[in-house]
Amino acid sequence: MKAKPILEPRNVDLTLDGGDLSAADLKAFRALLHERRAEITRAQAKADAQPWILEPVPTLQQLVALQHKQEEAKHRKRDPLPEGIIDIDESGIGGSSTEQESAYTSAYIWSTHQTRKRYQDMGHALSIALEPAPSWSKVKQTNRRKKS
Amino acid sequence: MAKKKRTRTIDIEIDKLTNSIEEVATGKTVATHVGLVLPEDKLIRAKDWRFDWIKELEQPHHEVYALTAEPHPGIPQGLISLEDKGDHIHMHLLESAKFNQGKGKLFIGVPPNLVAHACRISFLRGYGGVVAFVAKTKLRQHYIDTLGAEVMRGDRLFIGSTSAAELVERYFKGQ
Repeated sequence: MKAKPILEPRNVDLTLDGGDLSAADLKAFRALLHERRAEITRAQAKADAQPWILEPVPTLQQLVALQHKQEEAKHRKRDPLPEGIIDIDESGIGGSSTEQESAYTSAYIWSTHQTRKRYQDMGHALSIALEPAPSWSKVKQTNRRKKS
Repeated sequence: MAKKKRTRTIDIEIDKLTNSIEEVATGKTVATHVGLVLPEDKLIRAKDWRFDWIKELEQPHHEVYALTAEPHPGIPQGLISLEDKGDHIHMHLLESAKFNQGKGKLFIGVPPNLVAHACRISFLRGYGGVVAFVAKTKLRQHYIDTLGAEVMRGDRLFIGSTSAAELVERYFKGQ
């Protein structure tokens, strides 16, 4: 797929908080639109023939559901962790996140809240350790009853 | 009586969207989606935004849309508030998510993508793509240069049919 040009400079944050038009501005703008009626009609007729005009716009809720669905599918496809004791090269772990990376992670956790809760519930049910207790945890009984 | 739980199903094809934004770290473009934000869904967290989007969601006749991107289509990358004026669309607010602001922004291209969506909504409603807005004075020229916006009066700008068609073509052609 050919990458599309991105119309945003890296050093500017584009925001809009301008509010509404005044009644006088709206009246003048409508007069301008009336003058341009032919151009607007032409553009609209061209757009009406495009496939995207028929595409419904989803809700954010549906997009969140899509994310959950994709992640569940990914979990299902993932290979199980290796058997036995897992050892890793810990030298690859380190560094800190930027402010933006932390904000993204936080937003991710927020967006997956429902899925996360479901996995937490599952984890809680499995929290009883199945592996044998380490030897140092076994208390040796020293106060034996003396024979009478 | 217990409140009936509302459920929604994914019944629309949204996987084939090809409009994109760019991941700054890798320079790669990622596919995007645009979704309508409903106040009852409570999917906008106030602390992620500078503007009060919770209040904006409560405004009558205002429609808030979120731009999201793969691989996490549930995370809003930016938000836009629109109003249907009967013969054109008015943009009230537009903001990139906190992680897309400042020098370390993670993605670029979010605002024009949202503006293209506003133009698309204008075409969907039969308004020829026309979108009006009030610009910040310091960014006025920038919107003229990058979005093809035209001056109505002072900082009151609009995107006419020709520029709107160009923006929509650029971001939604692949649909």
